[in-house]
Amino acid sequence: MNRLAIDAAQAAREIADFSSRMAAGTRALATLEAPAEGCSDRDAVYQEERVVLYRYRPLAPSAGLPPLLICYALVNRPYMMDLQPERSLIRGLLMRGLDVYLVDWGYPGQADRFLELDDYVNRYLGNCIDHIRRAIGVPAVNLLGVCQGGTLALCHAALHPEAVRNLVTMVTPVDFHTPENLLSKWVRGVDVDRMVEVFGNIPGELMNATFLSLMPLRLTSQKYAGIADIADDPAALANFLRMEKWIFDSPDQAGAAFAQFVRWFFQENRLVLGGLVMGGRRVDLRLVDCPVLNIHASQDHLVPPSATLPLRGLVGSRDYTGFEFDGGHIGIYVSARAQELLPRTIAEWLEKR
Amino acid sequence: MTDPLGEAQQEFLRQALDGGGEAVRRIREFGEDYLGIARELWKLVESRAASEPGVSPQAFRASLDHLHDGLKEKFERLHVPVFGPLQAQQQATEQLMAATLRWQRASSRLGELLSAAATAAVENLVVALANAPATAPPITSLRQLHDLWVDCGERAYGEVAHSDDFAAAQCKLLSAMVEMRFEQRRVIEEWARAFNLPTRAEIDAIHGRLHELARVLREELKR
Repeated sequence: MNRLAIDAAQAAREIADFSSRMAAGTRALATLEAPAEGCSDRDAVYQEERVVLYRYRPLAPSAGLPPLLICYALVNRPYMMDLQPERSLIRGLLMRGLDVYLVDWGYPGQADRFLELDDYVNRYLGNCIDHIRRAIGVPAVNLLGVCQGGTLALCHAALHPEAVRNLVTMVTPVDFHTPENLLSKWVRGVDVDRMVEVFGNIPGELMNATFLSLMPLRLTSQKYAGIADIADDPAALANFLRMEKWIFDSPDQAGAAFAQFVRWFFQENRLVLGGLVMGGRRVDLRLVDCPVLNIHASQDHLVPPSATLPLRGLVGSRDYTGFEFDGGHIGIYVSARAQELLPRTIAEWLEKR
Repeated sequence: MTDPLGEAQQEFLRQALDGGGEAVRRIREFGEDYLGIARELWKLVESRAASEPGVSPQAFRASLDHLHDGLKEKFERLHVPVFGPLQAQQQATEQLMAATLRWQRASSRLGELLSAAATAAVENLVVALANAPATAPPITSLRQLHDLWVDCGERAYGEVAHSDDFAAAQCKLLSAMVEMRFEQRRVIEEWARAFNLPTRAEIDAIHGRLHELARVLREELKR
């Protein structure tokens, strides 16, 4: 059977209509203000070099839980967690009375090219946690690691179990050698040390190009054709602009840390196979004995479920909860369903511990 | 009294003026070939611009391919032994050209695989349109056709992108790009040094020392 049933006259009308809607959408985009980086009120409470620790202002009476520190990935900016009032995981957590902190890694400059994972995991993250513990007077914090930030949080929890009361990981890669993991397959043979020797820091643009090439037609063609569908919806256009800003707001990656992450995790899969050492100490996930909530997205193309589900068998914790979100890597942050589901799931899980 | 350096210089000049000597001959040949290609390219552009009859898009493309192959061959033949007072610069330039060539080759290889993906995407689309099951809904708009094309394309690309060949080709391209950039930087830094300007390598060395000093200081302060 031939499915093609396009009438020529109708096609001509469709082209004209599409062109005028794209033009209208582009004109409307030009009238919008540049998107802000996050929407919730917060205060910088600690800074070390380019790293800033923020504490969010409460939106509801305190739930009486230990503070929750969000550790985001190095490869994108953390305001994805607080994109706009109706699409903000942070806001959802604040509305449930949680005391929310966020570590912002900043934009590494060329002077930061020698920063190592030890600096991020032990020093920066450790100092942020210590600051919160001292400021609030608690022995340990709840730690929420997101994407690559979840991997860093896992390492920290294994190295400093006394400082982490509960650990939540979201779309976090653990096993980097599963067959669905395209990124891992691509970087397996790269001489990353030579790359860093030549590039210094790894440009954010190079990271962007790599992410786009995972689904090139969908991410470079189909997405922009969608502007025609929202041309007369200013709110949807503003959402589109916010997402675009976030997607391409990719900090350069500190060279040494990038090389270590690629070699130790993507190439050598040390979190699963062992042999991971940071700051002279062995990272052993069996030492993660605090309760663990591992949230993954069923249709995640960046961190496939197979990459994150093995965590259950690797941590030493006897209190492990898995939670599957029906959606993709981006939808888990910004979809309407995620706003309703995830803050509630995290808050209720923490309340029980 | 003999002057070996002076004699060598005179011999080089004599060979250059006579057009003799293997190295000089190869440089001259390369220059002539290169100019020949430039002339051909210019003629092609002129004829295209004037829309001369007989130059079809296919012929134009074939001519460009021919020029490209010719240029590649000329670069490959440029293995002139370094000599003279600017031999370091000559060597750097040759290495940059060789790295550029490797990058071109790696780029072509990835292009071949992407081209195969594009062909498979078209085949997928044909199947999705012409051999669809009776239950498949009809495609009644260009937008639906575009969306179907994206689905077919992503499926074809996904299969190629997951192959070992693609990973190897991409890895090789990245490696070639890194090496080309290394050679570019070396040439640029040579110029920077000539003008007494600071180079990235020097600044990196300073940053590396600062980073190490800061680490030692932090450890001392902890004690």
